[in-house]
Amino acid sequence: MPTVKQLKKISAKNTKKDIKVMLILSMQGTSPIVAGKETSGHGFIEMIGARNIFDSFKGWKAVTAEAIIEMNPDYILIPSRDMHKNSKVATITEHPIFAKTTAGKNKNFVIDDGMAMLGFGTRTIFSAYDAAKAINK
Amino acid sequence: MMSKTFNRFFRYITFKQFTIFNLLSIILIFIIGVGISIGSFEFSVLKYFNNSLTTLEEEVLMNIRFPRVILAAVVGAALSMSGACLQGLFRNPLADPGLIGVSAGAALGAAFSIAMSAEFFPDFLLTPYLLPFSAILGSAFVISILFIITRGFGFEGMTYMLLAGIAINAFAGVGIGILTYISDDAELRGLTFWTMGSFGGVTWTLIIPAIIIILSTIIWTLRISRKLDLLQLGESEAYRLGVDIKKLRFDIIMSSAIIVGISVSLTGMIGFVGLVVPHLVRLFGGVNHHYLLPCSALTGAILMVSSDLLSRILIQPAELPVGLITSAIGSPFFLWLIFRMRNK
Repeated sequence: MPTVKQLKKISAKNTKKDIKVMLILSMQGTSPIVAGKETSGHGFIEMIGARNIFDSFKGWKAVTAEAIIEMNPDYILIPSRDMHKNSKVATITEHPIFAKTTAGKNKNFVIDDGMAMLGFGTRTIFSAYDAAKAINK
Repeated sequence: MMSKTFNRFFRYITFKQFTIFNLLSIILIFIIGVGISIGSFEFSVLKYFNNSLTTLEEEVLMNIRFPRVILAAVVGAALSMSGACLQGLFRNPLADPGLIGVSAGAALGAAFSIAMSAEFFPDFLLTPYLLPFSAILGSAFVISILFIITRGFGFEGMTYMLLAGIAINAFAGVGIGILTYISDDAELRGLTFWTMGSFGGVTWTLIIPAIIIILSTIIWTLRISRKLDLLQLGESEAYRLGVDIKKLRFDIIMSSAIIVGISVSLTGMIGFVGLVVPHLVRLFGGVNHHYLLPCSALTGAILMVSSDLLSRILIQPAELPVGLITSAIGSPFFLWLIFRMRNK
């Protein structure tokens, strides 16, 4: 069972590495909608000790594909809405936008249950611990 | 067939209108050039010509920026062209593609696929094609309802058709409202951004079929210009001059439904272009449809490519929904139009 202490320890390690991360909420029919500053997604990214590449704006916003390629995230976090419908996540990870980023090349997608990641309930600490471990390879 | 269309085109337009047509074509090519040279990923497009682009730059140019600009041009042309056709058909300056309920139907289909895909659709259907496909089904559904209640678009009087369109719009509004109400946080944001329009997330595989269908429908529609001119004399006059009104109505509504349905399915709701552009074009050069239809298509493409350019670069790295920009340009113009009509 991970504790807050363990999470802090691993996230401190991550902070030193300066890992670039983005969190995608949804990308159906529009540009990807990602977590900006002052969102639960941003909070989650800070919690695992990574750096949100889209911290120049507030709230959940759509960003251009070019911006994602330019910012070149190392890891992409995807809160999945329905754990048994993994194919939906696959349509995101296989999208050509990500193929050219470090995350896409190395298949660095961290997928977890949306409520666990962003619900900020009791499960969040476990989800954050797993994500922090996943990006600390 | 093709050459006949073009011969007619040159017989019915004046020199001034021909000049405007050429000018618009040049501006369109120029603005497409500007569109593919500017973006948040910075590099010089001119490097393409001496093959010194890196693979990453080439990827961005060919697979991300270029399809986006082309789709914007085609969608702009489609919306404006169908706006011009519908204004001619209804002989009503306020007609636009949204009026007969086609875009609302497409929106309902798209909203359904955004909000319900996790619950209702089996896994193998969850592809990038799902959303456009359900949007097209939605607009086809609306068109068939219209077709049935107006008995093959043949029912006397256009007012009936317009009222049916309003009712269908309201109905689709209810559907989207219900879907908004039951969707979760992520779906809600997806819906919100989708209803404001965006050219993001396009790939060649998704847009090539759309481009082929839209362009061929546009060229096919150009052939009815003369009939639309005659229709401006009134339905009974046009009928006596040999225009098959029922067939004309069918042709225009079907072609509008096809191109608007496809456009909305790929880009979401983009308002005011179909309404404003034909008026703008009429102000410049005249009202005959041989001039109006092709020039509306060109102007629509120009407007849309520039709006998309603004949406991409105004608040980098985020993007502004393109529907906001077109509505911001369109609604003051619309007010001015109403004001001008009252003063006449």
